[in-house]
Amino acid sequence: MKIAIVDDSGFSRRRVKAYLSRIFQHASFLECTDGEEALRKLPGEVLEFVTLDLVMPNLNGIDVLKRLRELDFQSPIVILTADIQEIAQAECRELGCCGFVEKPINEEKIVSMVRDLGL
Amino acid sequence: MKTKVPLIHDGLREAFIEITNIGLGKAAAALSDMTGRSVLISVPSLEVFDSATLASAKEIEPITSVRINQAFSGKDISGQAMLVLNRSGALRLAVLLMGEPREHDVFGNIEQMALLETGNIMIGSVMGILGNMLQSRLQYDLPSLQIKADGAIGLLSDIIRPDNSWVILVKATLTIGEEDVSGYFIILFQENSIVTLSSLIEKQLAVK
Repeated sequence: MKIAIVDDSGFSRRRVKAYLSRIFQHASFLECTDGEEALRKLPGEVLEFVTLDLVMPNLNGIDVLKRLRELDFQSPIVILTADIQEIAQAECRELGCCGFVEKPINEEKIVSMVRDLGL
Repeated sequence: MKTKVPLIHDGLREAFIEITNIGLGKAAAALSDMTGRSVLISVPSLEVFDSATLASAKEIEPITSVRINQAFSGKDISGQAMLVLNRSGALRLAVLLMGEPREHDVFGNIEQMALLETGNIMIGSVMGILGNMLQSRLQYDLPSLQIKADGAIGLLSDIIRPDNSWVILVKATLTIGEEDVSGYFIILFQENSIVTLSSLIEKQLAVK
């Protein structure tokens, strides 16, 4: 199982990875530190799911979502962000994201996210 | 030519403080969740300043040496939101966030990332509530972190253009229970935001 974590914050990536590692003990992780890196690395990958931050350098999460959809990227994408605006959430849902998790993340939120993904 | 001091009547002030206070409550809950400590944030104050005065005002630059700030903008709204802390408080906060003691009292890469992310989350909480309640989409720049080894940083002077415009300053104090962590949460709205904010809040006040 491979999971991608797209977030410019190393602190956040570390926490997400730690929580997910407890649930999926044999998972491997693909980490991307900004939107451009995500667009370079994600297409072509077979991923269980992707967590995607919204406010990132170079290319923000909304633009990454748009581009991935244009590229017919099929893996489920969950938005994991400090941007709690309802309008932002609606925009992401229209672009086909599978879920929206507000930061700060904790184990309960990650477990719930995984359950909602049906995993 | 300088415009007149923008009038913010009592009803509007009260509504704006209430909306900000809800956001600050969410920010406090977020910080409490991250640190495992109780977090207290005061009811914010709201003042209108002349930007030139504010840029050089020392009295609103308390003894802080760490600042996490993030610019925001939306339709006819722009400004900066920031979390400011004293040095020892910021170091202690980093320890609480990391959940492990540090060997040295220094801001290493991971401590800086933790503080940046914390500021980002708190600012997102406050401004997100504001955007939601005013039904106005805000865009954010990346957060930035300023640290000075000793003494206070120019808390606002590098952010405010001393161009004789008016600035709304919203300020609340922050403390983490049983820890020597204290500071301020500050939002600065540029003059162009005042009319828009007023009209958006009036619209909300009109909702029965």
